[in-house]
Amino acid sequence: MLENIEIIDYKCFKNLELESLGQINIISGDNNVGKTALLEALFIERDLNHVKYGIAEAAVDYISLLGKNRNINSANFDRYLKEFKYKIHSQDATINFSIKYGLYLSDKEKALVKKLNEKTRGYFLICEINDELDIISLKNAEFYDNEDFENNYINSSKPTNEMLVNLYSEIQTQGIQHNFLEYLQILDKNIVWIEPQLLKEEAVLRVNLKDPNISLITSELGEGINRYIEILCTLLSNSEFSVFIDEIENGIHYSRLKDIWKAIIQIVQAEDIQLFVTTHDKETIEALKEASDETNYKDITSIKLSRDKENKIVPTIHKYDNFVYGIERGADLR
Amino acid sequence: MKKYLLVEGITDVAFVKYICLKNGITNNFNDFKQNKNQYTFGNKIIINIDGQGNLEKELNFLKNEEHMISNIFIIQDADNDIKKSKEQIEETINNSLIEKNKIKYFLTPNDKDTGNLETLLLSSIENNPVLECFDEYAKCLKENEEVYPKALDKGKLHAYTMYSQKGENLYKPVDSFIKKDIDTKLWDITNDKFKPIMSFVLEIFKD
Repeated sequence: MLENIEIIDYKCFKNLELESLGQINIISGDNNVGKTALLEALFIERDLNHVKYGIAEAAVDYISLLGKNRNINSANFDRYLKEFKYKIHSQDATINFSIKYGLYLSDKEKALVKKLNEKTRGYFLICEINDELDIISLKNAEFYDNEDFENNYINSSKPTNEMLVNLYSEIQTQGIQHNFLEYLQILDKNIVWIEPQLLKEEAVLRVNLKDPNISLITSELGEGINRYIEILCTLLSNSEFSVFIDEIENGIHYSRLKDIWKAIIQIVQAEDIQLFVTTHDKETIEALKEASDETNYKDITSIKLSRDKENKIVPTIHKYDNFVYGIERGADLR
Repeated sequence: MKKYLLVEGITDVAFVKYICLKNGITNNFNDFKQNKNQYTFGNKIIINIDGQGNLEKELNFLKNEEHMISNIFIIQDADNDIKKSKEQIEETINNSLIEKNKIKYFLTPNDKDTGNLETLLLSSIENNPVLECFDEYAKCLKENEEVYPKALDKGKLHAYTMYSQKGENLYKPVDSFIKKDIDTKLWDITNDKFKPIMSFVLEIFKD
């Protein structure tokens, strides 16, 4: 489990230190303080730590995924990559990505380029994890655009049919459809079964309701249920790993937030998952507090990002007791 | 950077809001936006900590956002032993590990005598028949059973606000400054007794 991290250079962050991270970490703050950027930085750290070979190539894939969430595509990927910087230090690793022009590569980096039978011309992405170095020429760094790539990062948009089918497919592979259904029924008791279907050459998830005459595909249902299916599938298929959710409340009615948090608390405990979510919604934060009260769950850290008088982004971190106290006395933890 | 004022209860909040209003800091009594026990006006925030016993909890909470705080001011009652009250509040401040020069405190009534907010407010009222009657009532009470002085102070304030203006308006202490946007005129904050606390409060809100 990630307990502390120092983001030395990533997007809007220059030296952001986070300590005392919990199992559920709720990241909040005003617009443009880097909530999503923080989620991205944490995601790269957690996921890249598990890559054994080809870290530079994997890094390009991760950067593609995050770029895609920010409307980067293959046409503007080269420019996006050239500006990409990432340097962090956590209890598990020191990770550094940098982009260098061939002329400025170190001897060690040049030797690595030679090994790859490449010429030291053009730009290179250099990845270092602890003492391990890997390098890739930007001309070989292709934008990776695949819906089923990495399913532990949920962006803030409504999921597509294809994404949901891919996610549910993992639930089927693991044979945990019944478990999934139990959690799904927390949000809607009328759902009796869910199954993938190929409909006019498009993969969709079909939801069967109690009324035998009603069977709908997920895109015909509300945004909340789509979001919840996405969250459930992602959590249940990432046992003993980390999950990242940007703007968790999107599409979900406030009255359901507490029950959804209760389900999430149950899953992260049972599956040993560390969860990072962003929100700017007061009701979402309060619902987490209520759900934690009712389940007697305390492994929560709240991280509020704000700008100090020098315009530097700084975190305010509260562990469970202070998180609860703050909400009860009306502190603005958004 | 935020400035915090921690007070013991809702009457303190109302009194501070009244001082701000009468000194032109705010235009309306409710310019402070309330969310539960927090009252926000720009970067100034009043917190009703709901009793001295919660000061430690509040300072522990604020310690986490110390980097966003320029000052913390505290108003508490001196109660029956101002020396002991000072020692206690200083110990709590020290234990919080918040930079000491960021915190200032004021013990009501005037930062030098024993008493509380109620005694401060009532000290500004002279020759009031309701208070004279209450003193007789308090005397009678004390003759018959032991009563905590703080309870008598609270009772006396309540009697004054409730029975003033012939009891027509049934003011509770918290509503005795402004009620429904109307100044009750029960308190004259230009009274000299209010000078020490006024200058403390204005230090917080002056910029």
